Amino acid sequence: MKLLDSLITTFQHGTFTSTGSIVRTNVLRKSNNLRSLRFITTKYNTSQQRQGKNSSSVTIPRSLMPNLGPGDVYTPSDLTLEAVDAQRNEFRQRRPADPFTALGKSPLDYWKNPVVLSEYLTELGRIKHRAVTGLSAKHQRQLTRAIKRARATGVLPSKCRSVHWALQTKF
Amino acid sequence: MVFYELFCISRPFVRKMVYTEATDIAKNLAKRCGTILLDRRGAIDGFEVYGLKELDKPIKKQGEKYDFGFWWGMRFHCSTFAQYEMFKTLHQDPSVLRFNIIRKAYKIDQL
Repeated sequence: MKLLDSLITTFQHGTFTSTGSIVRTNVLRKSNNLRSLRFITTKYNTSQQRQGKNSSSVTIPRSLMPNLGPGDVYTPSDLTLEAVDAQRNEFRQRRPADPFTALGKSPLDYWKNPVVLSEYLTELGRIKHRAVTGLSAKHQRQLTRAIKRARATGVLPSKCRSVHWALQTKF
Repeated sequence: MVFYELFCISRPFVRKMVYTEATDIAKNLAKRCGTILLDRRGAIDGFEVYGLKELDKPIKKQGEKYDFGFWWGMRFHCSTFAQYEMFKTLHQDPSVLRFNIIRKAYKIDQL
C-alpha cells in the first residue's frame, strides 16, 4: 500500500485514492447554450481529504483523462496522454479511403479483372455495402455495373468469389 | 463510327480430326471477326490476350463441358450494322463459350 501511495502522489495531474479506485463527486452538467458551456470537470476524493486534512483538489479536463468508472482498476501507464488518445481512437472505426479516386480511374475499367472485383464481394458472392467498401456513391454504382457485367460474361461467379482471387490471397 | 470492345472466352481445344490448340482457335476467330469488320469499312485498334484461364464454373456448349477457357479481347471502330453482323457470327460459332460486345464511346472525342 505504501508503494502505491508513493507512486500515486508523484503524478502532478491529479490525486487518487490509495486503493487506486476513483470516486466521482460534484460533476458539473453541460448547459444547452454553447456560449455558457461549462468546463466539465471531476473532483476526486483523496485519502487526506477524507481524513480531514487540508489538501488542494485538482480539477482535470475530461479530454486529458481516460474513460474510467468507479471500481475500475488502472495502472500509471493508463494516465499518460498517449494512452488516453489510444483509448479514444479504439472506438473510432474510420471508413477506408476510395482507391479509385486516388488512382483517377473508374471501376468499369476493371470489369474483366475478377481479382479486383472479388475484393468487394462477400463469401457468398454478394456485393458489399458502401459503408463497408468506403467508395463514393458514383463509384459504388459503377462497381455494381462492373460486377453484374462480369457475372453475365462468365468472368465472375455469382454465388462465391473468384478462384483467381482465392489463389492470390493468404488465408 | 462507334467505338466497341469485344471480350471473348473461346474453347481451350478441339478434339476432332486434327487437335487444335486454344491459341489457334482464338486466332481463327479473330481473323473471321476482323474480315467482317474490314469488309464493312471498320477499323481495328488492337487485341488483348489474357491467356488460358480456369473457369469459375464449367461451361456447357453443344453437349460438351469445358473447365478452362481462352480469354481474349479486341477493340474496334465500326458501324452498328457491322457490329450486329459480328454478333451473329459469334453467337452461332461453337468454339465461342462466352462473349460480350461493349460500346465504349459514340465518337472518338468522347474517349
